[in-house]
Amino acid sequence: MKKSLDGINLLYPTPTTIVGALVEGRPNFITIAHIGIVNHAKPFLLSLSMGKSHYTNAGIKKNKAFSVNIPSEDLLPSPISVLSITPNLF
Amino acid sequence: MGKSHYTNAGIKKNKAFSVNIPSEDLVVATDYVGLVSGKKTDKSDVFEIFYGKLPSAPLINECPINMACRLYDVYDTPTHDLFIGEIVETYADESVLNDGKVDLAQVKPLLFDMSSIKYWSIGKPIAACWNIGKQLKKK
Repeated sequence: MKKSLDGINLLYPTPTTIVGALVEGRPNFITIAHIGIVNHAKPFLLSLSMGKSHYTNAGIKKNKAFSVNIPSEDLLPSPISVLSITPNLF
Repeated sequence: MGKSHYTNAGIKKNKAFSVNIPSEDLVVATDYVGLVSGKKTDKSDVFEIFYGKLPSAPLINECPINMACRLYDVYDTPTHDLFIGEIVETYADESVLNDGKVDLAQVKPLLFDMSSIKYWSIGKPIAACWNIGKQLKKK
């Protein structure tokens, strides 16, 4: 039997990514899972959907660049693993 | 969706589409409707179809999750139309709901991978979101 759920988004799960950008000159990272693949052709395009209140948005708009990093399960928190994330902005 | 696809014109004309999540047991039919074009092959009888409020968004009964979308915007790229849909209605099979929430272990979605060119199955939950990272918060 189908149950109507009133227009909620069930397009999950998605890969969890860590988006990197320079914000006011400093590398910043934010976990983003609302991501999309736009195409598989040149120019290869992907999408990120990031709430307007996020600190990182301004840095992406200013520098017109960001990185998308795919963490592994083993990047679940340990203090060392956070330090080992390498910014890949340039 | 690549601009050469037959479906793009229908979405633009009717300003509606559906998104249906197939289970692993639908892998053959899922692959098939991605292999053949509606230009040459009628795919209207592959699945059992139902409609909700949107008369131009045919939904697939065999898929445990269905979303009917009104076309919200189209972002144009050189090769692809990026359709952005506003979800108007969502349906889920009661068999994949647990306390009203979707149980992915029951949905058994097909994950698409371009590197291996394989459909993958989902694994197990490993940590709570917005939670396990709290241990790294600076005091």
